[in-house]
Amino acid sequence: MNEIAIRIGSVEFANPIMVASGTFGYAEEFDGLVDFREIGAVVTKTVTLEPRPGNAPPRIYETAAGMLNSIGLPNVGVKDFIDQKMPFLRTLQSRIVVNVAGVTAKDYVAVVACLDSVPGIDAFELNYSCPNVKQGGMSFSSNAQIAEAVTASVRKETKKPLIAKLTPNVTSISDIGRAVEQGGADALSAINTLVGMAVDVRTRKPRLSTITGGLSGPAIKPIALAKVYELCKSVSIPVVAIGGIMNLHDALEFFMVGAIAVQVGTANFMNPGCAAEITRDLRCYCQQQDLNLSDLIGSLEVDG
Amino acid sequence: MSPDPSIPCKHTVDCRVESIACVAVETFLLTLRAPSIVKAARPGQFVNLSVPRCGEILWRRPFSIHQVDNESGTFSVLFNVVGRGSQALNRVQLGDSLNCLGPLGNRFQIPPGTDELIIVAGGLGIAPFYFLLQDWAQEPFQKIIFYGVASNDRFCRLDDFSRLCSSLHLTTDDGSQGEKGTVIDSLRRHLCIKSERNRFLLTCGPTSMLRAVQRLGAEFQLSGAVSVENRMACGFGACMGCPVKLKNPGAPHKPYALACKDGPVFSLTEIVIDE
Repeated sequence: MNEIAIRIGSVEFANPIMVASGTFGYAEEFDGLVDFREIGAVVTKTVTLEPRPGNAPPRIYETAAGMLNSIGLPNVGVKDFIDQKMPFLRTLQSRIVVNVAGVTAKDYVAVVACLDSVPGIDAFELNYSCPNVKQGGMSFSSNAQIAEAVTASVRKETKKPLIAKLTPNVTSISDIGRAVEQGGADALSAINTLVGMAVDVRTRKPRLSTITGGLSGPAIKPIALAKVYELCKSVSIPVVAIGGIMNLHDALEFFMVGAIAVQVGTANFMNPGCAAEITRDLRCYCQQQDLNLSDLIGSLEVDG
Repeated sequence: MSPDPSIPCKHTVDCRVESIACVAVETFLLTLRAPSIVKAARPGQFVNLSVPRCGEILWRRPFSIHQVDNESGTFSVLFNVVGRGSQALNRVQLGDSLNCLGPLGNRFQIPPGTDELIIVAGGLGIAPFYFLLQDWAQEPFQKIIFYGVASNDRFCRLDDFSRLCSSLHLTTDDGSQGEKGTVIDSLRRHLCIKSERNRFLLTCGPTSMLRAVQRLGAEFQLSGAVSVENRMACGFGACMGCPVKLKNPGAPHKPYALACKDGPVFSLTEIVIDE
């Protein structure tokens, strides 16, 4: 049997294929469209302390091999998340990673404190990087000291694995990566979307209500690979790769540059079965090549 | 007819292209074989089709289910060639396979006691009403269609529609067929004629027309429903990219519904139709 399970902190994941926050709702939307058993982890839509309405339309725009979004983290808030969304999530065999965001450091701590004892939650992903929220958000990921401090505060609230999700919209992603590692994160996930923009030439208006938004999809994969490669060389905690992954080939590239796991994001919208397909394809690939996942991770061969 | 519980509400399935026909200027009728979609589909719902062989195009494209044929297990969508997606779709060949996600969204519901159904369609907004009229063919109430386009070469399937309704009122912007002007003028005149009938409005089309129908509905105190169009990345409530503003939100933090999941059909009085 070729091994594809991974471990982050104290938690084992049956396979390294996860679905990215904000692209998989609270999983219930995908009922009937995907075999949940083949998904290593469901990372939920971001949960905040209070409910959020999200941004005004238009929120999305399709670009060349990608899409822009400015959704603005609409969510039901932590209380309703526990009451309304966890019951379904709890029925899944996948690991459940709850993505958490806040406007202040206290918000992150409060949300994690609320969720820590809720049954069925396996880990937390700290969203330090949403480019579409006006207050806070970005500052947590673009300032190494703040990111470290928030991570350290949240660390005190939970023994569950903490995955810090980083933005590429900084000068040095590895500075931030090292800081949150210092703060006690068990893993990093990268990259969140890149700030982008599109204009309707006919009306001379921006395509998104917030003018700029986050670019995702295959268009960003080369950038994601470079950032993940950089992070893997800079930190000693595992890195979960995100950025334009559509198929096994894409996932393999990220494993080879050092990622321990990948998250499928934008692809879920077009092919809701994508993550499960990649898991099956990975299993086949490992069998055919007689490899374990660990043989692939960081196997990049660089001349000289 | 209640939905067959053995058919999942929404699913993905590869469909064979059975035919593609030009039915008006830049307007095509695409027929796909997908018995499982046909079996599950209800009038008002839509499908999200993968656009073939074009790596740069990411999203599926949403289309109203225009017509179903239970015998052959086929359904059709009507589309205008307007952008990258529809151009690629227009290049499909007979026998090609397209992946279909559906049926998605809610359905048209006509309140009991209705005895005059008024359909107001602008341009390609006519698309969902063929399926509706097919499905309601046996219903005894009056079915009146107000159908407007820019010029007469843009009308779709007039013979078929006239067979399925009690009366068909046509308008064109340039006066090349039917009445010159918009459906709104024609509709207003109809509504001004006093009637004892219980009227119900259904509308789909350009935003400016939907707003005008909404205003007329309020003026004549008629209830009705509107089918909205919106950009969608997923079509099933995951991306949250297709918010529709609610007039009276249930809670302050929930000012929006989603066109894909809560719609595409909304009560005429329920939503704010923005320009």
